[in-house]
Amino acid sequence: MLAIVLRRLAFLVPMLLGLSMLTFLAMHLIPGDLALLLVGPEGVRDPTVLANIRREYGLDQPLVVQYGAWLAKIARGDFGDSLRLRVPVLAEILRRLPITLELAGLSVLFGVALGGPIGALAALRGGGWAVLGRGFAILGVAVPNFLLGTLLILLGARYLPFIPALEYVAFGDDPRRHLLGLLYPVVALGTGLAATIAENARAAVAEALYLDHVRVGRAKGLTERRVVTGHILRNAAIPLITVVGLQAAYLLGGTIIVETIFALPGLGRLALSAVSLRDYPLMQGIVLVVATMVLLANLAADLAYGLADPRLRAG
Amino acid sequence: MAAPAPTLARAAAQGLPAAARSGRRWRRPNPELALGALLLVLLVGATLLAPVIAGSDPNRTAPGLSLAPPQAGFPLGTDSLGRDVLSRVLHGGRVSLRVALPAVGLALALGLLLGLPAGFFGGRIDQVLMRLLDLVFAFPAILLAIVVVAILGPSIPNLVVTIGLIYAPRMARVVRAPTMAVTARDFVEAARALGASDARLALRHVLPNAASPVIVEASLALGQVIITETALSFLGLGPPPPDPTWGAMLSENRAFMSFAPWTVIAPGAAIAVAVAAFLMLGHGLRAALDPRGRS
Repeated sequence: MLAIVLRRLAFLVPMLLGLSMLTFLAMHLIPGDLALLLVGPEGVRDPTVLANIRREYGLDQPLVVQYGAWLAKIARGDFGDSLRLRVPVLAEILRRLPITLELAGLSVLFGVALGGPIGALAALRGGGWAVLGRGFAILGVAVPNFLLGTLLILLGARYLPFIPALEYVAFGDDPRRHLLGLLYPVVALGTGLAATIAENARAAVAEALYLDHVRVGRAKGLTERRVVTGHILRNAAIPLITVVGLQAAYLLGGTIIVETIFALPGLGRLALSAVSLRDYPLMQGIVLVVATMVLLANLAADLAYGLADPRLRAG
Repeated sequence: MAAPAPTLARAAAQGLPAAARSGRRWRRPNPELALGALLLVLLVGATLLAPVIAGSDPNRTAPGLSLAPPQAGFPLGTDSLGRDVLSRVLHGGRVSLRVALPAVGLALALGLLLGLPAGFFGGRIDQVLMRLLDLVFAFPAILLAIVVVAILGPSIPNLVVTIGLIYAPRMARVVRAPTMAVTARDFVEAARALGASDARLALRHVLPNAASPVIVEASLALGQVIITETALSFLGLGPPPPDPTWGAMLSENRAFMSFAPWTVIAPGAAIAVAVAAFLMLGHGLRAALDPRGRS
């Protein structure tokens, strides 16, 4: 197992290099003069100013040289300075990251807690539960996070006025209000995940019903309850780890919208403001950090899968 | 009517490989496929007939009728500028389809271009391409879309190209897997022995038999692309005014929604119905086309 972990971790190095290359290329292949972008829409169009900017950012160098210089700085933790906020990019990202991770983490818990049972019941009970499971799997996706968030604010203000909808309170200031303030954002972000989990849980449980050891368990005379919890659900839970891991990109993308709707000061909202302000170094830093987190989440899910399935642990 | 159908289906399926030739699947009712197709016909019909159904111009403002509740002449009420909500929802549907259909078409074309050779030839090309796609999947689609659209400028052609490029890797992966499986089958080997060229093998023998999952994915992708487009419009990065879009309607009316809920419920319902229709069509097609998908 240790060998597998080490091999996967070693493979991470070329993957991260690839990510940095894609991020760099994506930003540089976009049509338009980067120097003009860097001065900003209201900046001067004076040729000497533009020439200075090109020299300062190395834009007059060949692309390979530019990439090398950029990568060397990134490796030292220097992501450059934000053009608008006038602070180091990495510091600002790290300052905003905890709230985004909290939102995403709670959304995963919500998604598993809601989608898992719906999917399992749809497979085990069939009938009305199966119809409900299908309906939830469709509607959970068809009502996207920004629509669900809007509806939650609309309905919440009318029927649940004690839940703060559009304020953010730091955990240290008031833990209760902090968590209440995250309730709607978590529901808005986690419901789509719950729909995906419900659909996969249904398929996994339906498949586990016919496994040999389930039949053996029944033949041994175990109670139906023991068979379901001990034999079926435990087997069905393992593939769900992968499903959740693969949703990391979707979840982090969703935080951009959900944080914007609910005015949460996280990385997602920072991403949107960086884009609308054309804060180019900040944009690049966020894209790279988010993609790295997705890669790490996928890797963690892979390793967790290996730990959970004894057959893979041996091989 | 029930008796001859399976026979016809079986006759029509004679050309298909053995695994797909079970005529039984056509007898099984497929409510999801039927409902999805019905909703789509209604949706597309309503948007095509928008001028007839809604009557008024989506951008005409009715002075003195700001945020009016549903009434004669305005079946879904008006928005803050006194514009007809029904007309705007129907014309917004046109915009969504004008983005989604060509974007998925582009993604499909690029996906075939990448996925078909990768699955057919395998080997080194395939390995490199798949590792590259793994990397691309690490970037959240909406983040890429926001960055690219913000820099290129929001317009319908830019949205089509951006969304099409973002969905292309997904399509490539969906094309590759069945291509690989079909290429390994005996009848392809037989055609090769008869002297068919690689291009003929890939396009005439492999592709038609690998098409089912691709068709399913295209339908599901249409739903996803509508979500992406409406999300971008919601964030102010969609097609620019005066084109009405569902996402922009939702965000610009949020300020009034507590006393004029119809202004957000109408575009919201339109988004949900449109996406659900494509998802149900996709799931329904999967059940109908893949014999293993019936559970």
